[in-house]
Amino acid sequence: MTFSRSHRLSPNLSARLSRRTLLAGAGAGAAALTLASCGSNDGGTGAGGSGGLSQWYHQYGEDGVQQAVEDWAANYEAAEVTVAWTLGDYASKLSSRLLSGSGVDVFENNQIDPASARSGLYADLTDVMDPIKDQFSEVALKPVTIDGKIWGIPMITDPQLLWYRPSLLEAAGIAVPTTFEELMQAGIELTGGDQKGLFVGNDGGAGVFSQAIPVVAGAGLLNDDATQVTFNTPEVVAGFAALQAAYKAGAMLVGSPTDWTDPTSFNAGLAAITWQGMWALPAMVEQFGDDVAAMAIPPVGGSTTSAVMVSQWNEQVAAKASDLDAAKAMAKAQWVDDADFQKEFAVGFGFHIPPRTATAADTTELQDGVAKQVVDLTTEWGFTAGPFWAPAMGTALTDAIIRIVSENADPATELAAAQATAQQTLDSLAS
Amino acid sequence: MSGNSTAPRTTTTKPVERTEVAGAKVVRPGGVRGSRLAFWVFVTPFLVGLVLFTLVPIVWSSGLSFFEARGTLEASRFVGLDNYARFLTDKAFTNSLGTFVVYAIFIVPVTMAVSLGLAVLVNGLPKFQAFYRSVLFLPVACSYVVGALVWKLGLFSGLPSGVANTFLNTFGVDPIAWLNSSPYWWVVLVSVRLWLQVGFYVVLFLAGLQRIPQVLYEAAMIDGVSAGFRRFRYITWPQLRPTVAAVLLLLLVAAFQAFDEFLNLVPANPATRPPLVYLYNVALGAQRDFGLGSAGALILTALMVVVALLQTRFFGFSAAEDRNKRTRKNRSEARR
Repeated sequence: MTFSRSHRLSPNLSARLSRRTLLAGAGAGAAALTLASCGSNDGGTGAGGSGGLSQWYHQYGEDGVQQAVEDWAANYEAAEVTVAWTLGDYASKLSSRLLSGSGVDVFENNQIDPASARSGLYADLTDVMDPIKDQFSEVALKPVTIDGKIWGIPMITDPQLLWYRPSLLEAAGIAVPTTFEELMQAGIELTGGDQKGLFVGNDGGAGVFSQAIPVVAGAGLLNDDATQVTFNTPEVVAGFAALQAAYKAGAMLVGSPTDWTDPTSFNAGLAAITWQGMWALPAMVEQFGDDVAAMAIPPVGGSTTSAVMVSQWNEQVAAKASDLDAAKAMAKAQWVDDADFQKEFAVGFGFHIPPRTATAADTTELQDGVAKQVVDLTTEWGFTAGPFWAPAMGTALTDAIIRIVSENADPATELAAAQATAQQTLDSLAS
Repeated sequence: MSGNSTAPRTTTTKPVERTEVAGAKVVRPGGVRGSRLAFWVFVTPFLVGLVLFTLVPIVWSSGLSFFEARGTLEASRFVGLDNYARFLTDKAFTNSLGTFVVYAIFIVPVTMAVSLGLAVLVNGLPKFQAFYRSVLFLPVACSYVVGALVWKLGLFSGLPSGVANTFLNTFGVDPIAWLNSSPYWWVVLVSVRLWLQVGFYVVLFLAGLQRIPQVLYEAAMIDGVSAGFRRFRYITWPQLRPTVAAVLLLLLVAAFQAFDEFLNLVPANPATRPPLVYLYNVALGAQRDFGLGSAGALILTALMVVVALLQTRFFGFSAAEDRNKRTRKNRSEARR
């Protein structure tokens, strides 16, 4: 029957049918394109959900890291692991994937937050960490501990502190500063020609000193049980007043094409003292040889507390991992059991400190010179704000400091307002 | 087989009967069916996209704005209007509205004046109009991020070697940290957007200028208004009013939506943080407070709708409105 009808089609009907076919095809194509556009091009849809594991990394600046983690994943025999090397805004992309509950099983994170832990986005790794947690310092455990549970395995510790060229201080007849006020004064005195005294970020130090000054003033950011914001004290006000004075005196390098995380400006001789992470040590040593030294952020306002600010990357497991047990086993194999890989990851490409004290002590690259100096300073003065210092609180404080520094606002007034805002945020987190 | 032979006959006779009865609808039945199919085939994928990616998120976001939702898109605790109150009373938000006002005060009139001026100049050219139109339009194709980076790393770098500082140095001016010093950051922010968007508005004004009937200019010449500012004031400007209203609205909306260049040039400065960057920090940045962010998104949308409605009310959009106003005026004068 169909055969006979098909042979009886008029040319018009034939044209109509082919048009329909064309339209249907176009519609299907459009639908396919729409669905395809829902996909991702961030490399996150790897093995997750198809029997394997998807492991997420942010893009490390050092050459060789990507190859190393991909090699480790390829050699891991217990599961098929796909590495998602994520370019751009890692935190936002990771957050989206965790919220969607797919495409990410194991991931690194430098900002473990209580809300995500409490809303069930992270897997509890207390059972993995319990047998070895004594091998980590208090500073290393602080960012991964929320409500008595451990949500991540510390991967690398990145100390941030002040670096200087001893020859420049010596030539200017300036001793290594022992107080924050002396540091600012040294910055002013070292400024001349194309060289500025201090490079503490293109925002004039608002970002890097927002946490450091309260710490070296002895006030801290939060009290021990994280219920009170504590940074509004006369000593902290004095610290920011000193920062403001140095900025007004033109001692700060601002407007540099690269920010403090990149040692290019310091290496180019644009500043005598810089804020920098330990990861930049190889580049600075390559440029200046032995003429590089580090110092902790010195105390201010009569305090006796110095500080080395510590940031840390931690390995975590998604609570909605496609195979939770396999994901936890993999995280443990890589970041608890494989000490050789941890050492290579820490010092093989850039320069970081392995968070496990035994592994750090066994890393030969950290045993002498300025590297050892930094490790010792970090052990003595290492500080991290911890997970309850929420980004909104940091924004309130940084905004205040930017107004103090670049708009000459009154430090006491600004800090009082920032403390009120931060306390409000802290209260809302606790409720 | 008899069935087979009758079925086609039936199908061929029915349309004929319809043809005789329905007259003008002869061809339409099949055509209407085809159009419907085509309509749904084309519209459905995009309708699905609209529902999934626009309407559902709006409804979800509206609901979420009444709940606490930190680090999660699921509502955790009902908080009523707390998120709205928090957003509206946050000094950082009110400051961001201030930033928008300052920015709009600079960027809207400057873009309007520059693009109108360039359009009038290009329109008056006897030759090479297309060339100049294309040249002016080219920056519109450039990404805001790329533009911001060129401005930051090249033109307005804070180093003495930056282009602007090198130029100023020839007059003995000390290097300026453009992105760290008030009010210099506005020079950078306004100039980058001016470069990126002025070509688009030039094209809009050119279209408006070319729609003005030549006969008006000829009549003006007869009346003694030959050229220059008077011709622009009495003929060109009134005739461009719908274009001006549209450009004004687009510029205001664009200023309100300012984001890319602010995030790339002055990411942390509270004095130059427009509403959308503030909202981004709250909802999609490190804070990830989706309840508060949802409330903020709705507040900002409502604000923009109100501004757009007010602007349309006061500036109007079309010559038809002008005609209606004139008619109303004439009627009221006639009544007197």
